[in-house]
Amino acid sequence: MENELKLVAGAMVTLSLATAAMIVVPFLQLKDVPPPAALKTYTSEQLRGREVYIANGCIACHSQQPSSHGAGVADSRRGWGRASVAADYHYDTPPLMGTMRTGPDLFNIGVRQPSADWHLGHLFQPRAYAPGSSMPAYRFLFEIKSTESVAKGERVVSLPPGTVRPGEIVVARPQALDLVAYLQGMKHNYPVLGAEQVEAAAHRLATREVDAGGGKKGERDVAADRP
Amino acid sequence: MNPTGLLLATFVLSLVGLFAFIWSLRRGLFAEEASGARTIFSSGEVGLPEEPAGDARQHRELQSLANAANSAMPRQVSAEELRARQAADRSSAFPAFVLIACAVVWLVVASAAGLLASVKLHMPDLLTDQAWLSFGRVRTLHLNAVAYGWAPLGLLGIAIWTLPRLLKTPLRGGRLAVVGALLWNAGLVAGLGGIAIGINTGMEWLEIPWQVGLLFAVGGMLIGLPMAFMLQRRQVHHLYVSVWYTGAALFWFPTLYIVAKIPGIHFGVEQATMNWWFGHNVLGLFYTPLSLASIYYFLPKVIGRPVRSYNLSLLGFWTLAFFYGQVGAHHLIGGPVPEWLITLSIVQSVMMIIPVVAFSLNQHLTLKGHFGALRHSPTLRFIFFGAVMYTFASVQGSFEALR
Repeated sequence: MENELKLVAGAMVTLSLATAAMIVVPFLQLKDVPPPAALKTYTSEQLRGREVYIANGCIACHSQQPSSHGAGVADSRRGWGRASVAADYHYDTPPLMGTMRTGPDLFNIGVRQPSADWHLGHLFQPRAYAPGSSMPAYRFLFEIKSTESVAKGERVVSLPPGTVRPGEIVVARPQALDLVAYLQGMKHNYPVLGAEQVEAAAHRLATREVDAGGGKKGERDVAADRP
Repeated sequence: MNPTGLLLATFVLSLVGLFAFIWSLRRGLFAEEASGARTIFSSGEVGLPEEPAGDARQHRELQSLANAANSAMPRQVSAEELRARQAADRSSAFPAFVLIACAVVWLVVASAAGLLASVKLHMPDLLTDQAWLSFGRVRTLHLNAVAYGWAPLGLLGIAIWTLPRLLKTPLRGGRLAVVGALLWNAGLVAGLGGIAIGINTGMEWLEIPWQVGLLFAVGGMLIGLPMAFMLQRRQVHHLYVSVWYTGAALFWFPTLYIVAKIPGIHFGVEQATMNWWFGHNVLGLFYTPLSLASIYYFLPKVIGRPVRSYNLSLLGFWTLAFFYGQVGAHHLIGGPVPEWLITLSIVQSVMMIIPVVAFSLNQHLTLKGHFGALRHSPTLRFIFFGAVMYTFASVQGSFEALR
């Protein structure tokens, strides 16, 4: 190869193909998807909590994308919720989908653990709630005080006995409260399919069941039902 | 039309286009095969090993190995050509030193952060009183110090040293590259400091915000421009395979970074696909081509024998350029991403076996009969180990991408 222009041009064409496939087409395909009616916008407290989530790299261990196949095949059995859809992330910039699960998926943690006390205590010392957990303790989001020095309006964390020394008490800093508000708001258990889609899905499911029992015929039915 | 059919048609069509393109480039290559691969040697130099890190004894051993393997005895290299190479080396020595020295510092920093993060997984109550020492931040610091410190600075240092040799022209504007390296380091210090105090965009591989990224953009440009300008002033007719990889990578990375960092464009799930388009392409279209470029240069040079199949290297380069760009969505398997996109990425991940095998086979054939050189050349040991690890990791990656 002697021509550097051909080299650079060829290199840029291959990259453009990749960019078209992975950015431009998803952009066009998803840009007009409306938010689900039941999806709530974040409160400013939750948005601050989301920043705490980002700043502390929670994404390193927690995903926000339950799924019905692939790595998340058992998610609904674990009670982590239905598979997420693109519209669920309408208010998320960036979406915090994550790719690793050292800890559980958090897309519906607000449904599983609605209690602020549980969240605060668990953030302060995960092993007081889940023995053997490898989640780091987030002590810097809390203050340990003597029982007498607690001021009015401070959020005292109720902890399992023995977590701190007698006479000491744990108070949540604002960051911890924001983060917990964000986690409590992680509820994506509303339906995302319209009535027609539900009917179509039910129909397809029914024909697939026929297929499981009856072999070839059902397969044709499923294929014919595809839009 | 159903998406699978459409996807398949596009895939087959672009594959045909790719091979037609490669075919158009290989015109006359069978005849020129040897001459293309010999570009890195001066006339009469084939059969003379070069080991910059070796001592006199190791040189003697390497030479006797090369003599035993080559029936044609090496002729004398002209003093003029050696002087030209020495001038090229001298022109690039300082910028290469600065870049590689910085890379080594970042390697130490990154490894310390990585080790601490790793220990914290076993001792989750270790150092939990300061935010900047918490697991999530230390792990992110580790990743960014490797991704923006060790890897790019080291690879650019190697590129700035090899390009003057490959193009047989001294590096001009070396000072620009040094200033660029300083700016890049400044950006990295700012970015890592930001991560430590909690300034983070929330996207893996792109944690450092675009305002700091501007320093990478300007610094990277100052490092890259002297290299790009050298292409214009080159004294060789033929561009050696390492030049393709380096040249392409120098254009790919800025494009990746700029597209990923444009503020206010990306949204929702599209941002996630963009994230992994970027994340994987930094590996595939920046680290990998620069690393392969150095292997394609050092391995034949150390043993004094041209690359065996130049056609294989051509195939390897263009299939890497084509397939690697589209594999990113395999990080999102099972996610709320258009299904066709994940399928496409899985297909291209498996297709990556082609460039990987083309590369590995080529290096193996080149080294065949010269494996003894590994005992006498420290350079070759590093290069060989890296190449073998690349092969294993890539093949593993192809299979891990399966749904």
